[in-house]
Amino acid sequence: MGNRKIMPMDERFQEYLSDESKLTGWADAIAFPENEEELIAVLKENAGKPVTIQGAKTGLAGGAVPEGGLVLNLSRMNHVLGVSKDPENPEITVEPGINLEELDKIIAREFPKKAYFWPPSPTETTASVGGVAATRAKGINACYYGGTENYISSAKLTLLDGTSRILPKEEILGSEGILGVISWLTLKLAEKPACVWGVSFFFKDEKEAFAYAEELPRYQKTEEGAALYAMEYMDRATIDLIGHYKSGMTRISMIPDPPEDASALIYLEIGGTEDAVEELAGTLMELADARGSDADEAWAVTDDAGITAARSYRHASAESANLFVEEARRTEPAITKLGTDISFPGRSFGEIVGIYENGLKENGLKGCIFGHISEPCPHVNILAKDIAEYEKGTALLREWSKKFWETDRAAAPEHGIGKLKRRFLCEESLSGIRKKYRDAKTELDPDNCCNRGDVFPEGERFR
Amino acid sequence: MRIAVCMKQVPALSDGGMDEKTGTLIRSGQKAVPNIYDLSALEAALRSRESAEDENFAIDVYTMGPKSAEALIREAYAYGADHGYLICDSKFAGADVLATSYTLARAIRENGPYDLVFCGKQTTDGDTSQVSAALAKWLELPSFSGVTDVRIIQENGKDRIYLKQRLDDRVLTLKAGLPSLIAVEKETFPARMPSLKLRLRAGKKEITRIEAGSFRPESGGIKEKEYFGQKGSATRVIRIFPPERAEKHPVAELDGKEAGKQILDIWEGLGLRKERNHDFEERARDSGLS
Repeated sequence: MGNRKIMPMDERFQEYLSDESKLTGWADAIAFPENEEELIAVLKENAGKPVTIQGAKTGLAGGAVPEGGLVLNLSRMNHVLGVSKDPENPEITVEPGINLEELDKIIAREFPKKAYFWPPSPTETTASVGGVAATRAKGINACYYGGTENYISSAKLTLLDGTSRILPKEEILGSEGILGVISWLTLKLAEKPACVWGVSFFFKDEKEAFAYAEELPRYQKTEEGAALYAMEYMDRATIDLIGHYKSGMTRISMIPDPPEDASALIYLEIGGTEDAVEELAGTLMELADARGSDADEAWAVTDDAGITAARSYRHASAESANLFVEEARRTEPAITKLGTDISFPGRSFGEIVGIYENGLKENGLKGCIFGHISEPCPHVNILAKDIAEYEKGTALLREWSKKFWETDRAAAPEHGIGKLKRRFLCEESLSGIRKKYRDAKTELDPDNCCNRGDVFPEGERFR
Repeated sequence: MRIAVCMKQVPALSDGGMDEKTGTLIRSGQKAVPNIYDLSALEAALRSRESAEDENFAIDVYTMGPKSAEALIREAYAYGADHGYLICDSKFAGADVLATSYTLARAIRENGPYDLVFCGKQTTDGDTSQVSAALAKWLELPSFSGVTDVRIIQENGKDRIYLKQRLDDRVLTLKAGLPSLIAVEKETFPARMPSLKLRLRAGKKEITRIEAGSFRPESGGIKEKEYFGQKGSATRVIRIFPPERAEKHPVAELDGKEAGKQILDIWEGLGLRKERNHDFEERARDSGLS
């Protein structure tokens, strides 16, 4: 397969017409550039025609699904371009196609004496660094480390005419590939904590789990040498869904099922010095015990393999919801993922979950809820079995979007808008998001060729 | 009922390097984790305890290794083990199957008697799958490998075990007396998740250290130090090398005519007979490739 060459889209490349949103598109051609030079050559050859940028195709909003034109797959732009070993400011410059698992290995190889890592921590470890930057995905450790923007020091944007810009990172991050192609990024690294425990508490009563969630933020930053690095929630429906699909997931197939009477699971990562982590784990156990979580049933993993397994279990929540959609699509191909992931700073986690649960109940729909306790940002997935439920679910997502826009001005979903979430967000909230990119789009991509259909409607032009 | 479980700490990655001079694994710089097969042995022991109505049921874990292997015992405590023995002495270093099994047997005998000894099928570093059988020989116990189910039953007022043993082409169901040694299959005893409550207690629990001098002299006046470590090992690794791998060749996408031509070139390069090439050319012509 040539790399510089733009190849016509044929049956060999079917897999590049879809991503984890389960939307399927169409395209005329595809290219797999291996470096910036090849990328520019491909873009110049394709000048004037639409381009859809792809990383690892793990996106949940359909941003990488083409709607005609050229698919620009960056998975082969996966090289390290430079390493700064300054102990005060360790950095690594990479192409966008490197995935998070590879990145971890590269960092361990480049920095053998000290354990560093890149803090953005989506549990989807096959996601590409470019995709993480484009969607501003932050992952489960953001409650301690903050957003992805803190860990990218610079990035280069190559425009569709082959020229490039060094823009403020705030403009590039989260722009979902609608302005141009991120051709490299310099990542800021952080030192790994000396010790991390991954602890799972099971609650019989979800209200007690919500009350426990309210108590957690005070342990996010402490002076005691240990703090919470992750705070995640899963409801019973999510646990059941994972149980249903688990045997086919090699990374978690050996993890036992949670207790049958558990209504909710709260997964915490505690990081810091060994003694302090142990002490904080004890404190959190006592608090959970007071909320009816049986201390004998709580899980605690402390090594890399255990933490990876626990995170894989958390990731299986999204994966299982996607598998459900895949099954439903076999009989009803119009069904897509039906989910939302809005953050609500200042609100209580239980309150937001309660709104989602009531909405599902009132509409006679099934769904599963999981997500980040901090901010808070619960993700809800509506599990539609047929087209009637799908339409009802779409309407419910729009209703929530409108309600949350009116009450909180809460709009930006964590995993981007892409093509799919345009359908689920109300007009007011979409206008707010689009306003941010309108000027840049006018300047950099007036014909809306770059990721056409993402964020803005296909037909929109900026001249 | 008393159960001994043999466990080993292994490098986190099973593709760790080897020291070409000594033929032993390079462990420095690699994180150490419990051998996953041994976690299944511990799981089998924990399940036996849960199904038995015996307040005095005790699970002791034995591991041979450096001081850092204490971490494995603390991990075993987090899963539910009652007591741990660390067999740790420079005299035990560099042991092969024979010396390892002898040393484990001495430690188990010293602190026994045990009703059952549980082992994992193999380790992810040594991969021999022979320690359990050798250990049974030293302990003079009946040994059952490939065990997929184990239950303690009562027969005529005596404890016995009911086992399922996976052989190459069949599954044996059998009963055996105690004491016995059992090597379990990993798939049927997936380890539970370690408990937070037990982990918090694990740090404060005692670990008994066993050194070469801890043993009471063996009867028969044997020179026991010659049974330990590298001295007591019957095997020596002569050379370690990675298996040859096929070279990576580029994949070419060609049309039929060009592909045929290139195949002929390769055949000629390999010195294959010319008439064979003619055959191919004829067939290629017939099929419209040239």
